[in-house]
Amino acid sequence: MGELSVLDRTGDTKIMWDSAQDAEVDAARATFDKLKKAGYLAYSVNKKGDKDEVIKKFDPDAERIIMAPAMVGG
Amino acid sequence: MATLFNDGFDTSNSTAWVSWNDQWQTTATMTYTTTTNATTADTTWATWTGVDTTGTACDYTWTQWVSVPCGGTVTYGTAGPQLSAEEIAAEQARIREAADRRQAERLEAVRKAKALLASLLDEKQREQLERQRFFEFVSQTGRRMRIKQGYSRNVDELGEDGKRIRTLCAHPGNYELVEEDHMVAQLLALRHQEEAFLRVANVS
Repeated sequence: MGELSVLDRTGDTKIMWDSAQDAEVDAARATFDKLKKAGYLAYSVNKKGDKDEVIKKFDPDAERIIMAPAMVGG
Repeated sequence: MATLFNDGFDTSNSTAWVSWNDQWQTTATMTYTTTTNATTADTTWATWTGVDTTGTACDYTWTQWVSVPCGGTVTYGTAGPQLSAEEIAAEQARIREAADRRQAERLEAVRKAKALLASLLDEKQREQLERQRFFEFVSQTGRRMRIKQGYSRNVDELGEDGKRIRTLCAHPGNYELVEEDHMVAQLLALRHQEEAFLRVANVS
C-alpha cells in the first residue's frame, strides 16, 4: 500500500492506494496533481524514514509521499 | 432576563435605539436618559457621547460607533430576543463545546504531526528533540543545521564548533499547520531543495 500524507490543519491527511487497484491509484494521482499545481512540494519517503527524495510526478510504487505547501520567507 | 444585541441587524436605527433605550435605561448606571427621545441613532449616540459624564471609555467607543455609516460592515444591532437563564446557559454550553472541539482537533493535529516528524528522524534526533526541543542534521550541501521547535526563525546553520552562524527563516505558507508540520517541511526542503529554501529564507 502506498500512502500520501498531505500536511494540513489536521496534522496531515492520508490517502492510501493499492498499486494494483487502478481506481485508488487514479484518486491518489489526482490529489497529487492538484496539489502540485497549487505549488505543493512532494517528497517520496521510504517507510523507515531514512531515505527520501523530491518527486515531480506521482509515483504509484512509492511507499510514502509527503506533500507540503510551498516555502515562504518568514 | 437579558438581551442580546448582535444577532439582529436593523437598518431602521431610530427603532433600534429607541428599543434599546427602552430596554436598558432603567438599569444602566450611565447618564443617558436625556437621549431617549432622539429619533435617529446618530443623534442618540452623539448626544450620549456628549452628555455622559460617568463613563471612562464611552466617548471613544460611541464616537467610533456613530462614525460607522449605516450599511457599513459594522452595523447597529437591534435589541435581540429576550433569553431566559436556561437559554443563556445552553448558548454558553454550545460555545464551550465548540471551543473544546477545536482544542481536541488541535491536539490531534499535533499528535499526528509529531508522529510524522518522528518517522523522519533517527533515534539520536528524536532524543534530541525530546530533551532539547531541537534536532540537528546535515543539509543537502553538507551544512550542519539545527531545527528548533517552532515554525519561524527556528532554523540555525551551525559552524564546526556547533555555534550558530546564522538563522534562516522560511516555512510552509500555511499558517494553519502545527509547528511539527512546519518542521517536517523545513527538514525535507533543506535535505533536498536547500538552494530554493535559501532563496526565500530571511537570514539573520
